[in-house]
Amino acid sequence: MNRMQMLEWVQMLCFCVVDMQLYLDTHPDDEEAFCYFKEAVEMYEKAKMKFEENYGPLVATSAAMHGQWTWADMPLPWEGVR
Amino acid sequence: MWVYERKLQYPINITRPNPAMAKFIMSQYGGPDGEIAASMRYLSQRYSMDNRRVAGLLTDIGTEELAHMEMIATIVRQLTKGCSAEELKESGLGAYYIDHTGAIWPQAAGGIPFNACEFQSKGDPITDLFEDLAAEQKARTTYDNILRLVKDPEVADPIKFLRQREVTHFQRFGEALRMVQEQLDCKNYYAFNPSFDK
Repeated sequence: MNRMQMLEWVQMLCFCVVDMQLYLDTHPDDEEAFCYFKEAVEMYEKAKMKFEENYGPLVATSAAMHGQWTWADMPLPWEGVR
Repeated sequence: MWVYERKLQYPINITRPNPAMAKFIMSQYGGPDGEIAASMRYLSQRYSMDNRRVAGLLTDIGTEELAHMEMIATIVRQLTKGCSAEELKESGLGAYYIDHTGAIWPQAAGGIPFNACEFQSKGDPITDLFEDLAAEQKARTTYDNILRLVKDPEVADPIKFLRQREVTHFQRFGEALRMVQEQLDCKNYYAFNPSFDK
């Protein structure tokens, strides 16, 4: 996967987490939903870490995994491809 | 408090500028039914919401709306970036360009600046949730209106995502309303305001 594909994968998994989070807010006892949430979180955190190892931090605290302050030069999300 | 993730909730890569379209889409940034209004509405209402689960939902949806605010600003920026003053003027963004150049500033498509009159935080759970249900429908309608005019699939794609989120949020607020009603006397939901009366 290239950078853009890896980021899209992180975005997709993050979305699964957020969507299920909102559902659980109004269905806190739904066990199936909570199971899905846990799976989505696990996949998301794995994908996020893989992206960050290769391309830099997505959250400022992740800069701690690199040898220098990589946060400063990470592209801003609105920069696009153009 | 908030943690910021340096990514968009949904990818946006617009290769063809279109400032005329940007003028309309910016209504979902700073307009009456836009994402800033949504975010400020829910994040304001949550403080007096006595039902903890509903306050949690308001916080979570309000937070997602901040991510949507960022997406709209990104779309507007990508549609106008690199345009000359002449191009902006021809597209109908002349007055906006005079005051803001190529910057992003919260206003409605018609020019009214974003202001707190565009949302209410009423301090009554039933009232606030009906405000929120209406807000999601207003946003959905605005996206419907935008989609009638957008021809570029690179723009339509993230807009369709945002539109779908409004529909989902509407669903969640409906469930929250039922949660609030369940804690009240079904023979008189308005007997007292659980967020205010003891």
